[in-house]
Amino acid sequence: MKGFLAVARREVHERRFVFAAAAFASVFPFVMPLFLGWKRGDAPEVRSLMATVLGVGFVLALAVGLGMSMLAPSMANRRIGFDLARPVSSLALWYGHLAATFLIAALAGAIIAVPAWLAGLRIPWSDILVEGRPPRLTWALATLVFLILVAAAHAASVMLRSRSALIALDAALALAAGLVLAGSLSRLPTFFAYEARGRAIWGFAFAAGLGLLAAGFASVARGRTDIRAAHRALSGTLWTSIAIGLAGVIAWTSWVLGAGPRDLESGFWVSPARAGSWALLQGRARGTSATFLYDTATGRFERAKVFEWMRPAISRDGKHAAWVGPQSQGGPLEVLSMSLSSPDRDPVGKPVPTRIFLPSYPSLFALSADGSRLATLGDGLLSIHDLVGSRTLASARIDTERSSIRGFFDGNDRFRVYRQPDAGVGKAHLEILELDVPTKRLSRTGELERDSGSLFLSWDGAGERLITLPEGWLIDGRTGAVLTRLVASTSDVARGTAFLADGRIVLTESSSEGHRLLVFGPDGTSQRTIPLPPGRWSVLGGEVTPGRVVVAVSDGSVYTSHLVDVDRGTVRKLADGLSPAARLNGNLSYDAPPALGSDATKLFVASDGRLLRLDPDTGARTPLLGGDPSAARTP
Amino acid sequence: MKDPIRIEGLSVRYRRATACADVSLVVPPGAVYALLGRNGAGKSSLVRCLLGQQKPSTGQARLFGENSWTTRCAAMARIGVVPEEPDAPPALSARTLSDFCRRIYPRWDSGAVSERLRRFEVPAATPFGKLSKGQRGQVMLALALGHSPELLVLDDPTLGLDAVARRSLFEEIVGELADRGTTVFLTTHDLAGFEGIATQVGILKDGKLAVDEDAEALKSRFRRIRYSNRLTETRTAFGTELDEFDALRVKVRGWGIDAIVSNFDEKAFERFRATDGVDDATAEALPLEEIFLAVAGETKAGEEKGGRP
Repeated sequence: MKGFLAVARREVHERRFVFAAAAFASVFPFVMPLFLGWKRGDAPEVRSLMATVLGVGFVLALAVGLGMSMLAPSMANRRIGFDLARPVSSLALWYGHLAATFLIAALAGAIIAVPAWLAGLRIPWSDILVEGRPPRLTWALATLVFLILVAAAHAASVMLRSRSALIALDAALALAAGLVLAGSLSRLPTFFAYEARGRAIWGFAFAAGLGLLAAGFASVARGRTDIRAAHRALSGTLWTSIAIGLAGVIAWTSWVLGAGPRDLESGFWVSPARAGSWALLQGRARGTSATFLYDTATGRFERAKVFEWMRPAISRDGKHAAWVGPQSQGGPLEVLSMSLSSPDRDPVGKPVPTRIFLPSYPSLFALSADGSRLATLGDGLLSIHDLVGSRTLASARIDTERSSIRGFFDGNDRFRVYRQPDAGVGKAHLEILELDVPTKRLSRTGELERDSGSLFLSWDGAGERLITLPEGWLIDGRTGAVLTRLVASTSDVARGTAFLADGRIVLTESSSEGHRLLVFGPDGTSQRTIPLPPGRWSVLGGEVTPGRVVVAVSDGSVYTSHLVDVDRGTVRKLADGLSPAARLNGNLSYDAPPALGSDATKLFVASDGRLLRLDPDTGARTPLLGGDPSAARTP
Repeated sequence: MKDPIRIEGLSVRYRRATACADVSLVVPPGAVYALLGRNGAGKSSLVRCLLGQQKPSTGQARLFGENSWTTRCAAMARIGVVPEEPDAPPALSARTLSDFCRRIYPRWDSGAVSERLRRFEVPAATPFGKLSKGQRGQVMLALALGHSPELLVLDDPTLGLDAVARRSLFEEIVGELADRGTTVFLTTHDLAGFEGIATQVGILKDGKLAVDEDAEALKSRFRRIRYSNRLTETRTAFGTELDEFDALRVKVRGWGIDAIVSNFDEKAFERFRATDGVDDATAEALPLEEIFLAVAGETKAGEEKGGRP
């Protein structure tokens, strides 16, 4: 410690001319506006700016200048022998010089800033350095960056002064390291793992920075009066540190991108396909957002390169999925399709580029029932694409300004659009449009004046009939004509509704007066009212067998699932703490309601976030994700 | 007590050039070891390795029994160093340098340093870089002695000094030896100045230690032998009869033979003088400088010949 302090003190003493230079520079903010003829009103601002630029520039210039001159020249001309011939350790020599350099720069910065501050000029240090982070952390970070800059300048000075051929190897290694780093980091944005990339960059910068500080020390400790040996020691330490940093980045990148469904944090979002065994999972895995297509039957999965708000679509037959995203950093948005079951056109479980490119992310992205066609709506253009032939079949302009849009395929040749301008609370006008693919014509087929501004439409899977919520109107899917009003409009009742496979309608009502399930015939005539267990609200799960529906009732925090027989009017408790993964009353264009008896009707999410399969008849549970990790192992 | 200096099989190589090759020597406590060598003989490389400032390619140097490369910092508390080129920071004055040393040496005598500087008539407040070469050397010596070192290492300390500065340097060293019996290791070109001080002599030639022995023993085995140039019936050639004395240099001059031998022995010389034709032979002792020139500038006997055969 004595050596460290003595070296630092001597270095400051030796470089005291810097303070005179700083004092000279501190006058500039006051004098320059006079010469440059700024208006009186602008002068304080100009002075503040000049003081800030001078202060920061002076400190940065000192970092480089002092870093290059503090030790390397005396190592090259062996004047360092004076210190080495004394009981001063290499550690004290290196860090004593570093500390002195920091002290000199800090004092010089203060000499420039203090007169301006005393004169009432505002030095926006906090704007430059803090940027919303805690000031202490920011100043600590600024100190570290300064010291690393000094160490980097020292490293450059040693390399140049050694006049060794090793510098060519340094340049080659720097280039290689840059390429490896860029290559590794560029993998993360393709999965939108920007946060993970930020951490990787910081981690690498930290490793490289520490490497530079350690390399500077190594150059003094192992080089001493031999500048070439110093260069060898410096390069060895620096590139070892950088190699470790790169290995860390590569390992981190692989770890982040190697996440599977079992790595999803609790509370991930599940959307099972209407048919088949695949489900869409979305949540955070290994610190970044992740979207998986996951086969609940086999555990096979594929991580989709999509933004978290741009979910893949699964066809209603459950055999195909498609999504859109860039396949490389900065690359164009391309539609990818994937076969989920039989390899009818693509290999199963492997995304295939379709060569269909989109200019921007679409606000609507829907697959036809058989997955062969895709509808996209972006920049006011509705387009129908043929995924098999990789071509666009029809396009039409739709006014999407301040409007909510829903849509689905009515067969393969028609796409129906429900457009409702955002009207806030109260009355709203729903417009129904249809794009005919063979004729490429967009026509208006119907409209509806609604009581509500929200566009929540429950549909029957075919699109013939819809139910609007919260009004509870049964409407013709094509014309918007109100077929019947299932319940009276009221604002203090929470409702959910769905179509059963045979066309009947079920509707849950939750209010302060109670909780019940209403059953209607296909034409909307009331058939039965079934009281439900008490709760604050309920969701409709799948139709397990004809007439038997899963209803989960929540007490505000935990769901209890029940099996309701709408024919007999009975309610049987299935399980505490479970809610159905698939929602029969799913909103149009987000979740197609699960098919009768499909796998989706048997998937449940536990209150602790686990995904499991529950047999409603036997009560047998099969854990899938969360809980026992082996259950989600990849095949 | 451990030897202040022990060098074992030390070699220093710079790419293809070899500065020192397998040098081994020991400097016992209280000795004054003068290491001689021509320019480029490897003296400075050896000193840097000795002081832990450079890592030897092979072998090691030990200071007070410890490896100087790995324990440099601890060893330097017991050692004073005067380098070949005064290397103190040029912007700092002698007083500031002494103040710096005061903070790092456990025993530092600022008064003694000031007194020496006063005696040398070196201005204490003048930046080191603005002092004359002699004054810079004197500052370095004052700083080297400020903590009463057990070992003093001087790397060609008189190089570039005028007669007055050299004299004051010798006086300080002699005084130091007289006061404390400090061990001294020095490299020098100034053979005459250190002749009476050195107790051991080493001569580096082409990176190898050609001589390493007690100074008196060295001087006693080197002689200049001269005799007239007369051929007789039994004596048919010049110079070859000197083989017994390990002649380093033989010159055939007009008046006779002038040789420097490295294995002189009085009895053998008496026998030699009884040889027919060399009965006028004389042997005279050599100063250190002559011995150094003979060894470091050595040529094989008979190679260098002058006058007629």
